[in-house]
Amino acid sequence: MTQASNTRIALVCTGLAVAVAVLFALSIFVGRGGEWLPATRDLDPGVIDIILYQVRLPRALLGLMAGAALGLCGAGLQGLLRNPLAEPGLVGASSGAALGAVVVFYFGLFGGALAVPVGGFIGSMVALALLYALAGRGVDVMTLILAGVAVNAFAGALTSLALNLAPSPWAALEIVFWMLGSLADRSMSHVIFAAPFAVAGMALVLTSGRALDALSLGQDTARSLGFSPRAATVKVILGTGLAVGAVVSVTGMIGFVGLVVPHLLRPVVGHHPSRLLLPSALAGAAVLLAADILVRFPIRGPELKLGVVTALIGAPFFLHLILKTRRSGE
Amino acid sequence: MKAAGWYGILFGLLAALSAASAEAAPRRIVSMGLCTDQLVMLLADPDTIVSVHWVTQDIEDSAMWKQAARYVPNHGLAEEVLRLRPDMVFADGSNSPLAVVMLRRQGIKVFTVPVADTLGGVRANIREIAAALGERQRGEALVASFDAALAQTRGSLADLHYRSLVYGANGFSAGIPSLFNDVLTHLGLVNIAAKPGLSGWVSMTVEDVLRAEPQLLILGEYRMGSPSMANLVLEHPALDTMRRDRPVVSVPTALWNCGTPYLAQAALTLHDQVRPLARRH
Repeated sequence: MTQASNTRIALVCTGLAVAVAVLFALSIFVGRGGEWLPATRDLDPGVIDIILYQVRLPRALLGLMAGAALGLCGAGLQGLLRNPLAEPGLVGASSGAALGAVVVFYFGLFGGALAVPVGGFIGSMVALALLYALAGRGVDVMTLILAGVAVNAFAGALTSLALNLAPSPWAALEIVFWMLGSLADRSMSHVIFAAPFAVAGMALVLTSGRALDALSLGQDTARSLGFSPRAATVKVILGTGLAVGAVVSVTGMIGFVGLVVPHLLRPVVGHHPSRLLLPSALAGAAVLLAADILVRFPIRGPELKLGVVTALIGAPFFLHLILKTRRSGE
Repeated sequence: MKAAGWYGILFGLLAALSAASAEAAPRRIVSMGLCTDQLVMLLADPDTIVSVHWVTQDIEDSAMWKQAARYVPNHGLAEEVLRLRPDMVFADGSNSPLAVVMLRRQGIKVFTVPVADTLGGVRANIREIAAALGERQRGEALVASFDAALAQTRGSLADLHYRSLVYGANGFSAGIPSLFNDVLTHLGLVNIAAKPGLSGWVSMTVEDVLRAEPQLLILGEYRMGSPSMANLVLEHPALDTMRRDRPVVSVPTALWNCGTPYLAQAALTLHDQVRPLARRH
């Protein structure tokens, strides 16, 4: 790694960190229809404090955490599977997490609400293991996507089934939340449930950068460089399971962040996974915080679902990527 | 001439017979909706009812779950209703229009009862169902007893001038027209969400509730024991801060989720909960 590229990454990371900080602040201070809260005079200061600290702060923290986890895990999976279309949503990690969370939450497994991130983790791990068994590593794009489609469809069907059978009359209606995600009205307890898992998972993925770099040269080269391919695989998969499982279990499924973010960054920081991981985490956080501000803009009716906004931006991008990969493959 | 006369008599007889059968009281009634079921049970001869909707047998949803327990539960499906060979069916807005059309196609008399979203609508539904059952007198008696029960609480909390808010699962509040709104107004409370909403429901986030600064918060607690995202909003810690300095109460859902005379009991329950708290705050 040259000195120049290191400086460049440092610059990119600083810029992104500033963007995240600004968006984090906006997420706390901007309300429905773009209104700036501290400027509202007709509210009791006590009420403003409660709104800022108990309603909007947890929301912003969750946006930060979920965005970082999705962006980082997208970059990690793309590095591990050496496949530009890998992403927690597309490979089934998110839908597996949603299934695990739904089962634990609605049926009160392992003590219910507190254990929901554990359910998300288990579900996510099962989906990733299934995908890994189906697709293996370094397979072609098509096999990976099709395996992801299969895992997603199956997990989605089981989630719907679980919600239909759940003892709560609301459950069947709540499929919208699990499939499209939202940060609205989460409280600090959600942040506290999810944070340990998410942070541990992200740490695992973040520290796998050098091994992923080596893996990108092939398994044998990696081994000769002193990296264990197996250890790297376990790190990325376990890390993704932990981080994605935890965030999906409190925010629902939010698609495409993990897909779009690493692609936007590659032209800037290059193709080495190790240089992509930290910027992807930061950019993921920025993108999700921005999307979560966008959902507040319609003034009437309920807020938009977060996954609607990310899919509106992400799905055309996904299509563009497929066409591009196909062209380069020919 | 003579033949024509005979035909005339025959037609007359047939007409009279069919009129009589139309007027004849139903003997096998199936009702397919929670709210309609309860009015039918209040108005029809209990032995003429064959089946009610399964939700009507649930203590959380239904004010008449005990009375409903003796009947066959249905799930609002045409097929199961057909098997019960009803001579009169009551449906409401909660039923699939496809099921209603299919039953009518089989020649079954199906009354569709509109959803009552005002106290006036409750009286209208009582009268309509009573007329269909041929029990007009019972209908008038039920309306009269409903009004008498309501009279006990009319304006009974008006002196508090509370700006009140109903807040329930999924962050929905009762706007207009809604039964909740009418009960609040009946007690003399001011419903701050009283604006037109989606079928009377106004969507509010926890933040909206905090900003509305209600002086009385009525939580629509419903099956809080069974976990759901819908109910999580009611457990948000920011709402708990409201309990410190103002009355926060809840009324059993089964008493006011339907346009039935039990609304008078809901009004009384609300009155009995708010009155003592009002003195304290």
